[in-house]
Amino acid sequence: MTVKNIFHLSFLAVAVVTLNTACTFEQDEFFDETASLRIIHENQKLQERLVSESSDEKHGWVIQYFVAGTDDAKFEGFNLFGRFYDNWKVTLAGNHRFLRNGNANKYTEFTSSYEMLAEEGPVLSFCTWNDILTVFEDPVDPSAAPRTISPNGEGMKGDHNFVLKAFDENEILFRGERHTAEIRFIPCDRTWEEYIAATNEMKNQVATSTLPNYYVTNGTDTMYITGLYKGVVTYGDRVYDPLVKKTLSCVFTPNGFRFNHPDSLVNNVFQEFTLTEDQTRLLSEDQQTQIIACWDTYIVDHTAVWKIDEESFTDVQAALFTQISAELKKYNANYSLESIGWGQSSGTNKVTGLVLSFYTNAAKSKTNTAGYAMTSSRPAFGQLLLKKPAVEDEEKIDKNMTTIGNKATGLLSLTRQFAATLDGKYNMTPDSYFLPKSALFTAIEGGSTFKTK
Amino acid sequence: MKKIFYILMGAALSLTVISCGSNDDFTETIFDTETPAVDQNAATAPFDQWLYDNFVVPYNVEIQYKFNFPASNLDYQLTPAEYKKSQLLSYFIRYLFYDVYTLYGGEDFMKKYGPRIFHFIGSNAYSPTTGTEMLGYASAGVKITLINVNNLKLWTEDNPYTSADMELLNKDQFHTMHHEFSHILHQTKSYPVDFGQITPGSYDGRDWQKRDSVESNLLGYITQYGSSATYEDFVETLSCTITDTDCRWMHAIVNACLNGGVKEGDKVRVYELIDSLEISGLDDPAKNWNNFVIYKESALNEETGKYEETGRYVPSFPNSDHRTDAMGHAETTLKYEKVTEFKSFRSFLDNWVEIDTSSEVKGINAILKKLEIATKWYTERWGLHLFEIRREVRKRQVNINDYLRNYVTIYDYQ
Repeated sequence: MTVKNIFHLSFLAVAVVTLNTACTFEQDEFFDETASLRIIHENQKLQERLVSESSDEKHGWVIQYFVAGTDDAKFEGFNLFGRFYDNWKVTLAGNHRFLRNGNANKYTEFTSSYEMLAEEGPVLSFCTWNDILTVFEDPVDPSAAPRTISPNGEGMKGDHNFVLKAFDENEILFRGERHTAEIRFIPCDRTWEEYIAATNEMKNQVATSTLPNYYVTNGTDTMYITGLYKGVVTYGDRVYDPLVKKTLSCVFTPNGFRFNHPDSLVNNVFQEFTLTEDQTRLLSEDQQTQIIACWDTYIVDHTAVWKIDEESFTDVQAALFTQISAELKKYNANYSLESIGWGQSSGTNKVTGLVLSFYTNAAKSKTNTAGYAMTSSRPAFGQLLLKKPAVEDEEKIDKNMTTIGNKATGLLSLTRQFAATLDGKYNMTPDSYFLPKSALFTAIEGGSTFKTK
Repeated sequence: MKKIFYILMGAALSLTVISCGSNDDFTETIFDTETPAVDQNAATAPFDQWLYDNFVVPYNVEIQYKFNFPASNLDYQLTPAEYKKSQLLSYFIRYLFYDVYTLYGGEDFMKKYGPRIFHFIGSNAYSPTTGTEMLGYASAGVKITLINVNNLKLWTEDNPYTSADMELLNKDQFHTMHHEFSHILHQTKSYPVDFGQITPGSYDGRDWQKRDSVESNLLGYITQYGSSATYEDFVETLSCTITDTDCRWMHAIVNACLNGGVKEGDKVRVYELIDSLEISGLDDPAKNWNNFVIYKESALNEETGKYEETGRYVPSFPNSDHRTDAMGHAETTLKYEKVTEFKSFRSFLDNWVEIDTSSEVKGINAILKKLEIATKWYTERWGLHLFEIRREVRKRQVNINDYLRNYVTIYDYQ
């Protein structure tokens, strides 16, 4: 064998090995099918799921819908409802304030088309106009809508193309394709109008403009939310002028409410809150975070008069009540004491403290008040501290107390004695934990237990 | 040895080929090969079938009435169109656009040159930053996007289409369609360079929207947008000729004759243009173009605090719901002094308008020259007569209620 032949054979051997190695096609297959087919099949699964929940025996979907909002305006979440049909028809319903054609805040249904798009992932597209949904992305000024529809080029930044994030038996999560609106589908467990009624009832129970502030607490740390009744809350480190704050939107549910996305209090993550059975608070999914209306500060700071129920009077208080009433008649025979409470008196030089409410005519159709100043404070959550001035020199009374007291000379002294019976620290138990109308004040240090009517 | 080498080499290559081939197990195709052109189970099947029969088969055109997000313009916040209004607009496109060009251009004309896609947008396209509104746009001669479809009026026997409705339809949709289609035509067969040389110095691509209609017309442009670029000027000239109402044209003519630029012979040509446009009522005292007031404009000089004449006349047409005249947009720093009023357009043109002997080309003289080039190009390059197309479109618009009553079916979701 010549050197030349050895070269040829060596070359041949290397070529065969190299070529065979090069052609060996080894690619790890992580999926059974291509990306395109996976999206198509995922779309089919998603559509089947949407349609399966939309049969006559079921109630379709609740769509918790949060627009992105603009730099100038943030919006509440909206409960929409949907039934999907396998012929690419969808019926949506809602009762939100942006419905047009005179339908604002009225239950309304609208049918349109939908598609399943295979983009970078499955996309549910509401591809023709729908009065319920599409108004959220119409580029008109939302502050004037629906009364006036004027273009502003921006609108509310809603979305009609929903990119699938996740879905299971209990929920489907989407993100708006353009503005990242946040959308969650859950099976509706009752008729749509029943669901609306239940959420309205919940909203009316736990969220009012009269008591708009709430503690968010895990037992150790406390933050605050304000404005729940608007569906857009400020979540901050204090109620007024918070140093740290963010804006969250929410939708009400039959059992409570849900924020547009998860947030946290220190390490406790929360998104949805449910009203507890005793209706005192709302608890997060993991029960670690609770939302409690600031009912205690509402009672302490409220300017209305909390009238004491006579049935809760001590003997001393009952006797003082009778004496004060008699003293009032010295000023005017038609006067009689209606109640004693604490709060803010009316009239000139009004004071906050013990308030005598009295009738000013025999028919008992007209009333007036006279006030004796006491300090009230909240030493701890759910507690009230009532203090009368330590020395008479520091007393403040309003003009009515002065005027009547000039003639009914025992009035101030009797009032002072009544105030002394209340001087103490109390635990408060409201009749409602979201908007108290009355409360039981249990004496824990001085004072005497009483309740208001 | 050499022979053995080649035999072994051949065997090796065979092995290589076989080993490569063994891994070519094709997976399922990623393309949908089973769905028919029209899904008969779809809730929109009757309309989809109508679109297939009336646009896809004869013209290979897709009407995208369902919002196509990736193909939409992300510079604007846009919404899908209403289903029923999309149906109505599709009928209008067939009747007032395709059928007209097919009638005069022949069976193959729109097949060859028509756009391939129409995309319907429900909302308007309004820029929050500039405050300008886009009425529609074309993409590479393939797709025309029509805006504000939801503004269409749905027809009923009790609420038929009026001339005002047709005016709105022209403004929102058909002016745009003819405008964009004209772009396709001139991109296919270029228009004469001479067109751009008539008013070469006053095109303003950046600030055209700051010009009012009087200024645009007196400079020699049929519309404000036409003054942005030569090719926009060209297609505006074509589309306005086809779709603009008598009133719009007469206002433009008055504006264009008010401030000089009327050359010897132009007055006759203006009457010829009015004839070609088939504008009726030139001697009808009730027409608002026979009743107008001419004002002289002054602007406040902020340095001196005095008003100084701007050098232009501005007309005011009473009871005009058409093109807003310049005075409607007047700034507070502008003042108008009445010069004269007319009860007859003929009196205005024949007696008041003076012949401009300067060499400057502007106003009606420029518009007439542009029209001449455009109509000639339309005929010589496409075999179409611009005023004939206008006549046919207008005839159909007059008959629109009969067409809607007898030939249009608007479907509900099934």
